[in-house]
Amino acid sequence: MNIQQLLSELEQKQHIESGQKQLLSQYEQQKPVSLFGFLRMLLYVSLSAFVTGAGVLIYQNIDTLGHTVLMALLAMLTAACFVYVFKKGESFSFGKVVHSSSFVEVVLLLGCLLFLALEGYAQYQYGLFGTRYGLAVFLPALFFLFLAYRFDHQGVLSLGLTALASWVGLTATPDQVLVKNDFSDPAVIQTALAFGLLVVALSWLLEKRGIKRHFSYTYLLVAGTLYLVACLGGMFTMDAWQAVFALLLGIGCWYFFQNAREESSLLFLLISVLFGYIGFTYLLFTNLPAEIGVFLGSLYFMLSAGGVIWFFLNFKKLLRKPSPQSHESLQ
Amino acid sequence: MKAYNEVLLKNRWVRKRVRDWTAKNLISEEAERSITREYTEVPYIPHWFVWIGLFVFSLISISAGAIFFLPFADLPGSENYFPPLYGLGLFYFLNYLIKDRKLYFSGIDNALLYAIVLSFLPPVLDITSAFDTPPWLVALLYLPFPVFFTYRYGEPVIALGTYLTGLYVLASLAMESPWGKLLLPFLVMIYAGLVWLYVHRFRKRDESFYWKVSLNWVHMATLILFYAAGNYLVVREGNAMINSIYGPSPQIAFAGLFWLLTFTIPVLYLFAALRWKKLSFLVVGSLALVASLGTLHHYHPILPGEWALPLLGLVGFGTAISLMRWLKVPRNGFIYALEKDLEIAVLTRNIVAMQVAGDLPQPQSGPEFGGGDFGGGGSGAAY
Repeated sequence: MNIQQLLSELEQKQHIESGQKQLLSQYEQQKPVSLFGFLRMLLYVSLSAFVTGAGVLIYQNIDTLGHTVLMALLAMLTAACFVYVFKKGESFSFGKVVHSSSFVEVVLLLGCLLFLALEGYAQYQYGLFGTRYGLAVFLPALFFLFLAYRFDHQGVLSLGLTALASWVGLTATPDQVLVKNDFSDPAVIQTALAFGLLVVALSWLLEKRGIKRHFSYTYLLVAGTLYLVACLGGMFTMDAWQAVFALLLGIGCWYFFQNAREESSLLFLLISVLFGYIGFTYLLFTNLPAEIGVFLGSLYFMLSAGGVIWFFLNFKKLLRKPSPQSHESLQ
Repeated sequence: MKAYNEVLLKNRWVRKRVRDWTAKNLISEEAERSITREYTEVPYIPHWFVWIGLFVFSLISISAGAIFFLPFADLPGSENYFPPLYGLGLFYFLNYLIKDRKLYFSGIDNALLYAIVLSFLPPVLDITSAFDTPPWLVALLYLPFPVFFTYRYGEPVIALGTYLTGLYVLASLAMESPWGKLLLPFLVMIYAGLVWLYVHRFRKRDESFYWKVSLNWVHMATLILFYAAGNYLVVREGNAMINSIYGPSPQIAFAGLFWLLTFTIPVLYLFAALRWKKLSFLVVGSLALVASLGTLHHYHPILPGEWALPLLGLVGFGTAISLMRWLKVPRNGFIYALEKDLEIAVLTRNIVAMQVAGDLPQPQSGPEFGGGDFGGGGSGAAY
């Protein structure tokens, strides 16, 4: 069926009138193609390419004549980014801020990333922070957190949180979480647990006080996921504490689950179910006698996975909240 | 013959159109309600994140279910007839789910379909290996399965698989003769071109509605393949690979022609995007243009790599910003209008920010940077 046939059908069934039909037909024929997704993607990919390339450039051209010029240019560009956002950005508010200029968001991110590259260089070349390496990540973390709140930017907030994680010795970069952090090391597990708990508790407090409520999403995504991975790491490697880690994992999953309902976030629902399932299954198989055999084990996987599927198909009914509006948005 | 209920798919499409009309104030909310009441029943299509969950757990369940054949594993030839038998069982279960639970590409049906299509592979391989069959014939004998499933379900990955199986038949047949090897890029381009032409024509017909998603996927794939088969780097390195030449790849025949194709195809795609107002051409054309610049850089670097990347980024950045400003009002059939921020967009932005920061190069000399994992800093546990 094409659009003309549909319009005739709707007219025939008296849902629309003939004048409307013409209007709709005209609209459908002349409807412009939206480049929203394409241009946003181009913008972010280009930004990544520029910052990554600039980062390499800084180190490759050390000791050459153009180096100082290059550094000066990059420093000026960084400063220009911050001047731009302070000039064009909306003023601070405890609620969600939508900037009238659509470039504030991306220019701020560019400024922050360039700042990071320059700061790393200054530490390398001139030893800006001497041997106080913690300060080299703690200061940008504070700076980014300030900017994130000032300009309502969740991307910069995640940068700030990643820097903060780095300050306590953890890596929160998505593709490096499992590579760089040794989750069999009790010290890393404890740090990640404490970091996750503290940051999530802080976000909970801020949310309760009505300060940038929508930021809780990023807090939980970055710090909460680290916490859950640490719980699994603890379960897998520290047998004596297995029950404690299982309990902590359960609490974490429950918290994600609650947030999935409140934030209408299906990603949190997925994270909660995935981590919960892995933890529960591990607990079951390490504590059951090996004699249960392959057959019963497979039966467990078949039925439990079936159960999870049933849950995903019916979660809307199960998660029904008193407010019908929020329920509607969970789709 | 079609597995999914087309009425449900049509209802979904109608409701989507009507929602758009209401948002643009072309019809009243009352009219939307009355149309929605008329086109009530829609298929079950979950949100993207729920889709992942359903898909992953369906795969777990399907794999675990195969264990029930374990007691019979010792029977001779069981590895050949049990998979299709299991596939047949899954096939009936899938059709029941589609009919009863109104699933439509929900993750569950996708997983089941992939398992079913693959379950018919072992007997085909077994029969053909007994007769020392050439690879193209094996693929040709297997081809009816994906073709049938593409027709019946219109699932995009299966459709793509069918398209690639066809390509495999052609390529492995060509590889058997020296002429075929020489003409391989042209044969692949002809194959991609013919499939594209078929898809292009078929999409204009009303009955293509059922296969809309898979046609979109195959359309993109033909554009990519057509470009790749004419790309100088792909042809030159591919030529060295199929002739088992190690070390630097030698120059190829018709080098000038392939250089020409490398740059004319992206331009043609971008031209088609403007002329036909097609996003697919715009996306593939832009990617192809970047790939062509990469090809040029690989053989004739005009600029050192560390300069080329930020410059390319700067050009892309400038292009994006100028277009965003210019397209605030519709021009030439395109527009840049703010759309609702989806959860996946927020997530992507968070991940891009963290990833770029994490990927910033680290100074090479230094234990002082500890476990440096965040941009220029990074303290490590020992700070």
